[in-house]
Amino acid sequence: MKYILAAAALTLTLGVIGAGSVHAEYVLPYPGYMPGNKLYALSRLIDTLRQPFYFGNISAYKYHLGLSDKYLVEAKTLFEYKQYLLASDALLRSDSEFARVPVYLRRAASEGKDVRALELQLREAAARHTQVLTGLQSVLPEVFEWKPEKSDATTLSIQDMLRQSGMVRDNAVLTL
Amino acid sequence: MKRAYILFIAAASVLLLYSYGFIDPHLSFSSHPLYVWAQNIVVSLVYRQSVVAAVLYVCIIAALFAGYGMLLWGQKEKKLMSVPRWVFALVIMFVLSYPAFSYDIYNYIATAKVAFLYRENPYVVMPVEIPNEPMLSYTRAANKLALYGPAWIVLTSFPFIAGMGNIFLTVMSFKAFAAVFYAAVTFLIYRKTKDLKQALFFALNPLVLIEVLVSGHNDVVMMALGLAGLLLWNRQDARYKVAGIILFMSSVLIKGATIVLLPLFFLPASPTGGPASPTGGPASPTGGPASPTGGPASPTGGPAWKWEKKMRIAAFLMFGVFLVSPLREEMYPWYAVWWLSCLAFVPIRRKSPIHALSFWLSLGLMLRYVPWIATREYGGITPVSRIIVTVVPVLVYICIRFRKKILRPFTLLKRYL
Repeated sequence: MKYILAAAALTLTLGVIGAGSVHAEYVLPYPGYMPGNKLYALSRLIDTLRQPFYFGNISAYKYHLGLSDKYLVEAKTLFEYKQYLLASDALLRSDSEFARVPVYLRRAASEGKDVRALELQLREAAARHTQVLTGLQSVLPEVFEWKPEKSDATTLSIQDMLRQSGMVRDNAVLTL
Repeated sequence: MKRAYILFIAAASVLLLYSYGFIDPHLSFSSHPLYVWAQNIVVSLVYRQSVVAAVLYVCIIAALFAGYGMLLWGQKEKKLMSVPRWVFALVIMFVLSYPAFSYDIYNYIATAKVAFLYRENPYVVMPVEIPNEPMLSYTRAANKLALYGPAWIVLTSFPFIAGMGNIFLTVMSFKAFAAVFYAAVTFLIYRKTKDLKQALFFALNPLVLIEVLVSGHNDVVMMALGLAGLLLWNRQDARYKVAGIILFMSSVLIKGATIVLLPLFFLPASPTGGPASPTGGPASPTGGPASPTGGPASPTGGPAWKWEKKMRIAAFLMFGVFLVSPLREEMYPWYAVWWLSCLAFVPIRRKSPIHALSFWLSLGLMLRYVPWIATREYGGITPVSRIIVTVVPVLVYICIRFRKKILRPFTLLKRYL
């Protein structure tokens, strides 16, 4: 009998713990066309042209968060391939898009729309972004000097840039 | 005519009351004690005595189809001269009924609300993404982005504004909006055929009455614009042609099904441009086409058969889309409005098999609701029962209509033995 009770207690405990930890993790998109691909410029153009389609504050929230995700994945891939200049550009674009997201969320809330689920989603997105940035911080150099063949060199403060990106995410969450 | 009138009005009166029994438990149109008392009676019938409710539904449908059959085929070649006044009363009663058999109207309203009240793009934001929206408690498919084209979304601004934020008024506005296009299709049929019987073939079909006026489906809007576009395209004046193209494109941008009618724009139009004959359209006094072979029909010398032939092709094309619709979801009864509206332009002959078949198929499609009303379940035996009740009336008709051909092998065998 005691074994049955123990098994039942174990099942219940595992069930409760399992049920408590059920969580839909924030998923970043698959990287799209990367710089160097013939369709990359077109993809960027489409990103810009899509903007009017996302009228409305919740729509705009989705648009800017989607772009921020996309450009972060682009930056991560480029950093991994040591394309630091292009990666830095993608990361700055991701930051810029992420910084806009809370603005639309506040506007939607001021219109009387219940945005609690979207706020939660934004927190999860910020956490996921920070996780990616932390991972990059551990493998990338502090500073990198980019020397093109026919033009002047560019010094990239990569770690500073990553820290700045992290702060953009933190600030966005703090303003909620 | 009098029997048909009694059947139609009696069925419409019962349906008007009965339909309110299907009201969603989370929705109430009024808190007036009399309304609440009356609603509770029909709600308890529909929800607690579902078999009785199903039998009552079958009786309503039987009465409507009996009246429809009497009106179209019961009269001996007597041409209807004017629209009976009771038809207007009938339309009003159907419009005032509750959209009992489909939640689509709430989906239209929810999408319009996302677009025009919340000012969000309904192709990006689902109604469920605005969780404090009160409609969510009684709207189905709120977790879907806009299901229809941009032309429909733009058009819904009119009934949505007319509803003034009141759910009852909004539902009625959407239904009245569908009724306007129902009247437009009926008018187009009459204008082109100059035969009231043709117009009533569409307007009084119980499937059309229920799916358009009771449920307020937007298929009639798509067909009205598509048919108007096709009619205008056949005019000589370039301005009419441009208007025709615009209307047709709007139709395609509602639901997309009318895109199959595009080849008809490339077929040669009747040289007269307008109706085939100024005296009475393509139909002969007996109700048949002027020339079944397709020769010149009208005294003006225009090949009058062309329009009829075009509409026959249109009906078959739309019927084709209707047949393949289960590949996407299921064969919804309201999809029959697509081909019924085209078929109404084809002259009704006394033994016209396509019109008779449309009658029996319409009946079968309306019976699809019976298993759901009886069981209140979409699963279980309901899907199979739906197929059976749809197919049986059609098979019965085919067996009776073509019994000689079907029995011929047996007759030959008997003779041989």
